[in-house]
Amino acid sequence: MFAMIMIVFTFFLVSSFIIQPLFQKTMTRPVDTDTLFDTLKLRKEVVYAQIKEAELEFEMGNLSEEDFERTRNQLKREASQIIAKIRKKVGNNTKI
Amino acid sequence: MPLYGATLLNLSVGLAILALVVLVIYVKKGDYRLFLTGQRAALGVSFLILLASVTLVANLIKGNFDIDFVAQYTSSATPIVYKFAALWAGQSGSLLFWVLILSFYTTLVIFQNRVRHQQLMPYVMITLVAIMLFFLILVNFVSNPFKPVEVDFVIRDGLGLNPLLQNWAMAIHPPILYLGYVGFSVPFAFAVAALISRRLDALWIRTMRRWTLFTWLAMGCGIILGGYWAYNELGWGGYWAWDPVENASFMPWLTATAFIHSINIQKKKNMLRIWNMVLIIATFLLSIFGTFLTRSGVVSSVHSFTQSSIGPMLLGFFLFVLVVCIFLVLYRLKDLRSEIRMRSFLSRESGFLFNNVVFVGLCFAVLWGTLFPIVSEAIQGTQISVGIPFFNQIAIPIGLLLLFLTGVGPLLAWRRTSRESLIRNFSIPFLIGVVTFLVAFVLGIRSIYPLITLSLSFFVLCAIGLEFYRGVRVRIRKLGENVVLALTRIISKNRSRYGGYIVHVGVVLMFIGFAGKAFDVDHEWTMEVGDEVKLAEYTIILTNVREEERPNHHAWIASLLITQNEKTITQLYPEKRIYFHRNPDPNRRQPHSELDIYSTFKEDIYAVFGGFNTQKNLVSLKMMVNRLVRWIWVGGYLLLFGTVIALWPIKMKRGE
Repeated sequence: MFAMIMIVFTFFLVSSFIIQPLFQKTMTRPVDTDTLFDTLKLRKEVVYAQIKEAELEFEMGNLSEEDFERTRNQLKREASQIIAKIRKKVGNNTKI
Repeated sequence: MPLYGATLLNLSVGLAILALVVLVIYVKKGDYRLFLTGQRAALGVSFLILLASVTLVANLIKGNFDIDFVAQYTSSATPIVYKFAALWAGQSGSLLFWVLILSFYTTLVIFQNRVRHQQLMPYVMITLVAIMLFFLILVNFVSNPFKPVEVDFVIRDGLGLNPLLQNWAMAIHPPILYLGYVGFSVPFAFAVAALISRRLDALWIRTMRRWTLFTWLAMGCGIILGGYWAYNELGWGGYWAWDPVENASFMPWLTATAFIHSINIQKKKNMLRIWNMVLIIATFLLSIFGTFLTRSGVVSSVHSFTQSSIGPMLLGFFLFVLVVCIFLVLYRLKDLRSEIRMRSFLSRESGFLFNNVVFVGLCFAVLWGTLFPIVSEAIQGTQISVGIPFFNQIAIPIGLLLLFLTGVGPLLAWRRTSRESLIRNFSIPFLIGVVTFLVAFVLGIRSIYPLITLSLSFFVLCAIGLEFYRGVRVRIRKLGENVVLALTRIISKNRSRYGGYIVHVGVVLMFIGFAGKAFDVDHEWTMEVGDEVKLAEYTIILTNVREEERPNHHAWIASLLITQNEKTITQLYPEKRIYFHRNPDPNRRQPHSELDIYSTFKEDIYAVFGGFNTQKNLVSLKMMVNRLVRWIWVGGYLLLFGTVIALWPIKMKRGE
């Protein structure tokens, strides 16, 4: 008997929790954060981190000057391209 | 209460189907209320599974022997901690435990992504709930943990837990391993969601890095704990036997290791997108395949207590997922292709890729060796097992190649390494490796594999040591920090990189431990009290044998005095135990050898009380001197420590 009461109680508890959103009239979807803008921002962060890493590697003596210069220039070029894409998307006045 | 538990499991199947239907309708219609309803239904499934699991644990602890599972795996004499651990001791309980962990992960994913990954989340939930539904079908209709006993008399006591499983390492080994096995469902669900929704950018990869690292760590710890348990409990002096069930956990761990390396390339260079997708799918599929191997009994294994009829269903599920994934990857192949190409063979990218190929190659070799009995049975009609020598013959050279790459990777630059950098970075580690080889040779080591292992280990340790030294030196020079502060900061500011190096040091120490196996010695004797024997450089004296009556077993305890050059080293107390000793049926009594170990960094003195002749007072004793084993466990700790560092979140400064 106790088991039956518990089953019925659990069933109603779970059911009411699940169907509750269906009784709402309007529901606004949260603003999606995984947009192209975020992807570009993430890419920019990754490239900046790589520039920092290359600088550390150079200071540590792991990278020769030739390797460092080439890597840094490539990464800087990549960063400028990403920033240009972000600017195109959000405009020049927005802080990125 | 069994009725309550069984009904909860029934309800959870219905709710999982409801969640799937509602979420699929949401994908078609886009009504956000349906998304929330589906999400809540998924949470409801998790809640019901939690309640069912708590109900089963309550019955295990209470000793409700009307439930078949409780009667099979516990008895009144089973200590309470092992009554709890009995949840994963048998098939149906461990399947419920599997789905419990998955429900916990699902809940976590839902809460973590309330406002993130809105395009992916419906598909992520559909995938996770579909996996849950499959396992719920198994626990409901194939192997139900609430099934009542099928006898027409009252059962006063259960059979009790297998004595081998009554060990702290075995009590925590399965849950930790399961955290890994089941955890791969989450990156897999995100991968499937990314494929379906065509959101194949770097965002999901960023989210997945942490999940994969955590599950990889859990699985690695589970595997090491399994080895620790085997070494400390089974009495054969080894920690890895290439048993199919061991291989089942090792294979997904290998592909996951490849994934956590190559994920860095995708994050940094947006390359290897197809490869990463294949790796994460392969890892999940190997987890399911491993479960199939463990549960189906298609290959004979020491873990045979889990054989059952669920094998065909698991195989069917595996094939279904495989077909769906192949279709999805082929369908999105064009989107997955990266425009960026590898620029140089001598770059860190190519080092990562090469390491990936070797990891996957090792995985295939292990898979082939594991499946060989099935293949041979299909062709010749008889099962032929390839055994430990086959695996060692293949895994040792590949393992050494991986060890070499562990050292080479950090020495290579991203994009391209110039000749000048190569010479500068490689010269000292290479020299240390050669010196180690020569020193080991002069010291008398002649076996080729230990020689190579030691020299490669020191090559890698030197390469990693130099990384730390150079990093610290930069901070001291630039910022004037002291050594400790500079070391702490260099690690905390580059957690992923230096955490990874610490993991690599752990792996090197484990390899040193593995190399010790080549120098192990062992012997067996039948002894009387007062007898003295010699093994390696030690003298062993049997000083006493006494008896003890304990709550769930009877024990004979041997006292062994270990001396070296007449100096006492230690005393060991291995035991011969009889579990269920009060059972009137002698066939139900289970003998068990509880070994004793004296462990140092140089070697372990390992004593096994094999048997006791009560009439003649004769003790069967097996002794071993196992070299360098402790380094394996120390390596395991470092693996844990390094991964925790790599996982630790970076506090972002305002505006960062």
